[in-house]
Amino acid sequence: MKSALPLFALAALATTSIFGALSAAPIDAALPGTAAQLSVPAPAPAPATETSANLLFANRPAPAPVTTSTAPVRLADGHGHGGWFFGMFDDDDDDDDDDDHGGRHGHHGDHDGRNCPPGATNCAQSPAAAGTTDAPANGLFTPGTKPQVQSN
Amino acid sequence: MKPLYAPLALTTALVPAMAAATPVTFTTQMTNYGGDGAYLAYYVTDASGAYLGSLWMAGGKAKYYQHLSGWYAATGGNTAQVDGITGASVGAGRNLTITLDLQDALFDAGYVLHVDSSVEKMSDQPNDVVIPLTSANLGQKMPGKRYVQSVTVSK
Repeated sequence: MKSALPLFALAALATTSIFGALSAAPIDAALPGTAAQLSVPAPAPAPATETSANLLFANRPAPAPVTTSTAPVRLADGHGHGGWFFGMFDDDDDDDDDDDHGGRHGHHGDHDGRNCPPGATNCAQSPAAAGTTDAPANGLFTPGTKPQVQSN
Repeated sequence: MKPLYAPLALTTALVPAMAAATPVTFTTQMTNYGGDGAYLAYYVTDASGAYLGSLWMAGGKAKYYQHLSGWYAATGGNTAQVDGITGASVGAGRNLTITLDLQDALFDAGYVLHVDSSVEKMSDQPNDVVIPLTSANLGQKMPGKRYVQSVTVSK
């Protein structure tokens, strides 16, 4: 009985060492179909660009490509909430706050002046609306008269 | 009978002075182009095309005026040209009626009314309508090229 104890102890030591070494060994390559490989993001598709003749708003920047980053993207024209957006599309495609709806959806305030073309004169300031001031003295109008407008 | 001559003479003298300016109505009918409200610039040039002045601007955001290319080229986008004569843009299929007190000298003197138009996400149309300001054209429905179906100038 006494002679079996050293042999048993030696066997236990050898087993522990082998399993310890194996568990500490690095895994160089993932097996196909493992979770590690599936978590690699696929290449983002290029964003669809507008092909229509959008000359009125041609100065709007192209949509940002899809990325996995959570960092916000700063828009050049100050669209979105506070000029920042986190998604694929801007939240307001209608820049015309004073269209035929009477400007009731002008919730983003006035962006005038942010997209003035180079060399524009007085572009940063919207003109005075009809009825708020006299017509310009350009020789066409009778001085002091105001236009009458009706839209249906 | 003689006492009537003086008032008659005074009235006759005043009529030409009052006729120096007349309310002129511009009635614009838009086509159903299927887009957002159109920006329209109404302006007058002489026979050689030299800019004389603006009559109306439909659309209040100055940053889009560059797309009213004829008007923009003539004014450099100076919004002071349309102070007090600016209103809302005009939707597809809608009509806009503007009445302005204009000098009679504008008519039959070689001046020409131009209407430039532009719509968001659609192409620009300078000189959508061009109308020589003549008595013969008063009351005539003048056709447009793209967003404007017609413009009628009447007194």
